[in-house]
Amino acid sequence: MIHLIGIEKHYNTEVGVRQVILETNLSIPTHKRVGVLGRNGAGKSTLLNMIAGVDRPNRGMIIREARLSWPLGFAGGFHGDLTARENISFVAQLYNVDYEETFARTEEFAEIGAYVDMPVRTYSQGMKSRLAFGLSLAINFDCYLIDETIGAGDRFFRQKSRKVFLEQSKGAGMLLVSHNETTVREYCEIALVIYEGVLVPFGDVDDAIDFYMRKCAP
Amino acid sequence: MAAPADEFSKLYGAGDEEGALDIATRTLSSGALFAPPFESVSWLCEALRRRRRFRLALALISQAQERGYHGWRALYLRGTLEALNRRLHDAMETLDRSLSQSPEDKRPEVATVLARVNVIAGNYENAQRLFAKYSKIRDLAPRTADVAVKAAFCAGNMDLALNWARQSTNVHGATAERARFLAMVHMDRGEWQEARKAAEEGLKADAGNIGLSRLKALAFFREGRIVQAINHLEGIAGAESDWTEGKIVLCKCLVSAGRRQEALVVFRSIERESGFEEEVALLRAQLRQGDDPSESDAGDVRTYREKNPFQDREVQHLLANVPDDFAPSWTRESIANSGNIPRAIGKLFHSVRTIMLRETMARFGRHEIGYLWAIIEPLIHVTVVSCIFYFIRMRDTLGMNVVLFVATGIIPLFFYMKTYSGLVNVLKQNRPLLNHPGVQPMDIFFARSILEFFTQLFVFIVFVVAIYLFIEEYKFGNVWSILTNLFGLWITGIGMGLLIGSLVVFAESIKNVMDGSNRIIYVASGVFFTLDMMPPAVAEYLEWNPLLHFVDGVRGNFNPLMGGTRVDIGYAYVCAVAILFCGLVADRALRHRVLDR
Repeated sequence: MIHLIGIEKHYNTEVGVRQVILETNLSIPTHKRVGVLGRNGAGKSTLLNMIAGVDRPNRGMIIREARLSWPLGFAGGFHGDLTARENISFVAQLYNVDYEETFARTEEFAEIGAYVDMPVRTYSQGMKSRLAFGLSLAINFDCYLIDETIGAGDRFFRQKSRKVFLEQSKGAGMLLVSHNETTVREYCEIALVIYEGVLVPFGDVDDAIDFYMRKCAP
Repeated sequence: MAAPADEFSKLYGAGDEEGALDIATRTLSSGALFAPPFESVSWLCEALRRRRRFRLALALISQAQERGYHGWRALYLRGTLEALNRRLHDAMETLDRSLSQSPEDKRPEVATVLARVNVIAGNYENAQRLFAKYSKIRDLAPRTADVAVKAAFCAGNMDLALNWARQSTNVHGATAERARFLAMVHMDRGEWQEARKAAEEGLKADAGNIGLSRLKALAFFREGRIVQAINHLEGIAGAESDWTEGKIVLCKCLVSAGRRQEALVVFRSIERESGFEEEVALLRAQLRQGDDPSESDAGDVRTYREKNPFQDREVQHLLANVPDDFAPSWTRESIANSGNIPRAIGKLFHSVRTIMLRETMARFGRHEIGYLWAIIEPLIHVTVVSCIFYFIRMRDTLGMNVVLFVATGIIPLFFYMKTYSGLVNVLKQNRPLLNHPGVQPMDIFFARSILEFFTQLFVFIVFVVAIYLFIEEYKFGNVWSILTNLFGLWITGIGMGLLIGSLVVFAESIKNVMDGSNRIIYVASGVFFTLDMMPPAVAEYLEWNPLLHFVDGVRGNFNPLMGGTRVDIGYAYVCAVAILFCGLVADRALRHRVLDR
């Protein structure tokens, strides 16, 4: 479970206070596939960032009672001066998992070959995102955080990643953040819609999409 | 029949305008034909208009036209008078004809009148087109400019209205009317502050303008400045006012300010009004609820979205029926668990250690010389400064070996310098690491500063051992004393790094200022001298620098003569701890803003 206890988020910008998320009290199940729908700028990524821990809510607290992944396919966490091997070893240590196994599984997916011993900064964008994606899949999480990045990388990679991800995450939950209702319909069981700063919960994806189409994206 | 006309001409020619006008008025009112010379028709019309005898003037111009007074000016006069007689349709037609016949240089004048008539008739788009085509807004009289702005505003062309209003205001200053439109444009766009400023500007020109006061109060409300909104609204939307919208807003403000009794008084006066049922129902609900704890939070940042999602019936219904999957399910234990201190410390150790390893690996990997750089940099400093000493002021080291003197000054200072520069940017650089749910900002600070401490300690040991072996066998003092001083330098560096790293949210240049100050600190902190070497008058000021005490304290352990009588570790530690404290407070207060940027 991810408990959002009285959280509220605003940004102080030069043109005034921008209220992103109004006071919210919800528990998000981590064993289910949860979609978060919202228009651009509605606060989806802010919510995901708060859950991951990059952003803090201005009030309230977030309790994570599950092993959460970092946002899937997120390559920014790599240290450019370290090789893929070293980066993988860092993540494996951080999450307390076996390095050898993680490395083998990442390598199998990422297919970066001889480059594993080169600093990550020399990688192409595609290689980096394959590596990041492979690494996310190599560790077994209870719940995967996804920010519309299932489609990172080239075409081949996209199909492959979808397949691998769906196989891998069988039984695991996920939190998919998207503005695209078809993606949410395809992958999710239940959903939240961010409407004018309010997280509106739905026990059924179709209801959520109906609400989203009417209220947020007419 | 021609007699009145002749008499009129005589009087007019003799300069008796009053008498001439009287005759004209009398003749025209009697309904008789009146035929003055064409040259005086224009003047006569103007004179009659000034006396507000519009009907007579119109009769006059009609008669003159029947007698053969033609041309654009006749049409222009007639059109103007028709407009003044409220025959807008005819007026527009006549003026249109006049416009097409008039010479180029007279067109703006005709077009302006035509446009004004259009505005009165409600043809805002036409009017706006005319103004845009024929007039220079800055040349128009203030009141005409107001009409132009109104035309653009009502035609829905907000940008143009804004532009015109600004142009005219720049030349003639604000008028209440124009300010009202300007404020309305801003309100329309959700620029509340701008709207309020425009309204205030207009109130300067006309302090009693009700429309502007209302706009100003509404803008305050939208801006979220509840107290000011209430102050303004109370004057103009009190219980006996007939401005229902204002009363509703006042009531809302009072509710959110927690002034429930006053809100109730206002609410009673609007309860029966029609046209605002939805708002009234919502207010009734809020007032019944009584003291909702979340509402009484004083000094709270409260912003008003254009749409209040909680007012939406559907959203209200959905939030009232949260599905089981999302129902809040935390317990006391889950909250207690998350604040479990031993576990948190365990996690902290784990991630600090991991991040430290990562940074260490990264330093090895960055250049071919990798970690060697940590030694080379101070080596260069020590060599250069030693050379300067050796050739210029050798005597001043009081018999201590020059290299030892310099090394025991520079490397301790590096504990401060390197820790500071390592921490000042660390959070921004390593922000992506926070995506790993187990990593906290504090972990990153700890990892970086601990790594910096041990790196510098290693460098320090390398240097003092090398000097002992190859340069001079000195008499070594107390290890604890050295460590205490180094630790003091280190925590000053941490405090400074956190402090400046947080304060950059106010101005990026603070960092540059500090970089400059650090050059001065380098000179003033005992690399080149000890406190005792300075003349007492200078030492009195240098004593304030805590870093100098620490550096002197370290050096005192390598030569008994260097200990110094003025060194006060107690004072230095008070400063160091105070700086660290400030740094931690600044970090805590501003960290989310550092991360938001």
